[in-house]
Amino acid sequence: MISLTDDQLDLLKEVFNLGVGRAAASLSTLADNKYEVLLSLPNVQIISIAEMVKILEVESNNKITTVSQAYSGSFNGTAHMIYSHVSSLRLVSLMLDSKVPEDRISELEKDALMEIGNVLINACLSSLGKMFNEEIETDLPKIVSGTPCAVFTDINPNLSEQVAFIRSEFCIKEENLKGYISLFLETGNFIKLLDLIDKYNRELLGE
Amino acid sequence: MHKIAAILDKIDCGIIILDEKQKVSLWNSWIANKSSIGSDIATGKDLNQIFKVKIPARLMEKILLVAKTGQSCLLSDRFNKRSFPLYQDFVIKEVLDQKIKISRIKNSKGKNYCLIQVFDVSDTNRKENFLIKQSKMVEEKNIELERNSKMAALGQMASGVAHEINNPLAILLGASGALRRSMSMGNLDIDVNNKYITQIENSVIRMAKIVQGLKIISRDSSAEDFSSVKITTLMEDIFGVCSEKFRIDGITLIFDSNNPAYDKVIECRRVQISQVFINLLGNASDAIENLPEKWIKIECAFVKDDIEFRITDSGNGIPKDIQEKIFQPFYTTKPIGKGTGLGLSLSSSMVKDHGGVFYVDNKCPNTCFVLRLPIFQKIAA
Repeated sequence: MISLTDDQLDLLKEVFNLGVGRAAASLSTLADNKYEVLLSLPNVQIISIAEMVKILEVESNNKITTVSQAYSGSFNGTAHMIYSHVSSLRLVSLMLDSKVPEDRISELEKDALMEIGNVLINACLSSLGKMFNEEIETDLPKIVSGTPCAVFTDINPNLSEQVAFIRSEFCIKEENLKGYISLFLETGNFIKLLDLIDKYNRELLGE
Repeated sequence: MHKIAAILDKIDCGIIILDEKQKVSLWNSWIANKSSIGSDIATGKDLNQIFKVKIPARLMEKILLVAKTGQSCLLSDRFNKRSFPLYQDFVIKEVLDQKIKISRIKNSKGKNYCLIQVFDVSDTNRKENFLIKQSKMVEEKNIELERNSKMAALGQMASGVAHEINNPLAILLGASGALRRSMSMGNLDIDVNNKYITQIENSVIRMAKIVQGLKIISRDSSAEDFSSVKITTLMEDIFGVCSEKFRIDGITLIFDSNNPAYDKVIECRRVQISQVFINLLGNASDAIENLPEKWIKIECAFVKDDIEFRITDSGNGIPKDIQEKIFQPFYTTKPIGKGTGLGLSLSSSMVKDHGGVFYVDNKCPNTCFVLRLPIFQKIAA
């Protein structure tokens, strides 16, 4: 069982906040600046996949789409961007100016979802890499849809594995639309990440 | 390397590999065909030198970013309408819709290269646009069919409605004549005169209800909102239109007006639910018109958070093999010109819109349709 100190959690929040801020700007550009996508300060939790599945089941109407990208560098794992079918998909159809109903995502809409996920994941991992001065490479994104349980069992059958679950509230003022953008980092090498955080904190304090 | 290049030439997508200085080191046949620029011309050059038109800034930025950071990128056709100037047909010169994947690869000596994969999604796009267009047309057709079917159901009831209005008119004429006679004879007996006035009032109220029912049921229901409606009011809408037809056809309508359930209020689209009932009652009366025993019974009861209506007629049930089919559009057992084959399929979709269920009860020895509706509508997320 891994638990993070308040300092470690604060640092992770800061890192993701930078990433998410950059992602929000890129998303507004993607939507031709028709809408301003606002993303709130992210909330970071270290929880098991099983716990995360429970949270998502309640708020996603039991149907999600995830975009996953494997990453490698000084620590390896997979990052997943989660779209719940309640609000996130409306965000996408708004951005796309799409007339297709949200429950029927077509092949090309899937590509668009992948691109949004790709922008967010790369932005978050970039700021993580920059903060620690480490290079993090990513693979091409993949997309999976289904119930949270089926999707995550498919991704990682070990439901007790701990992940960093990062969520940020998004808002489009013009359309009065609110929802969550959820991202999680599955890292087989959590200890390495914690080491980097501690190292950074020590450097910051001049130790 | 030659072997790999030969394989890449056979692949059905575009492959471009850039070296560390962003010069083309591989340009497969697919790209050569679609750009009409051969590998010999492209190799060793910058992308912007190769194409005559400028490559979109976002695409170039992404390529540089991938080369620098190793973070793979995907550019979908939906967000990037302009990509490489590639064509299927060099006469029409319509740029292909493209999906582009960019990632960084290392060679055996540890040197970084940038791999660009280009996929043609024009066909998929065309198919999807076609499907969207088709589904829009189907939607429009469905609205039209719903309207037609409603008018057909009303048409079936029309002869009844004429009688229904004729009867109170006769009473009205009779009562007003009697009142005039009574008054001209100097009869000022309040009780006698009041009897005629009450008859006149009742006839007018009855006609108003029939007109109200007709107005409600023929209204366009496609944009109707949910509202709270007393079940008695729903029944009045329905009986106003049907009861005279039943009387003419010799059908007894069994309905317990003292049932306390009828005083309750449900959230529904009044027009749609009335239409479902009119359809069911119309079907029932057609089905039993040649039977010696002719009755239709409407029952109503609360089941948990739902209200359940059972509409039973004196028929002998519906054979199991056609039970599935009767809810399908255009299936009808009625003679040509009589049924549209849409009543039950539309009713079923209207009930589903209410979050309700609609089925044939096989346990009943007669023909029995069960219509179960939630009392309250859930607020959509």
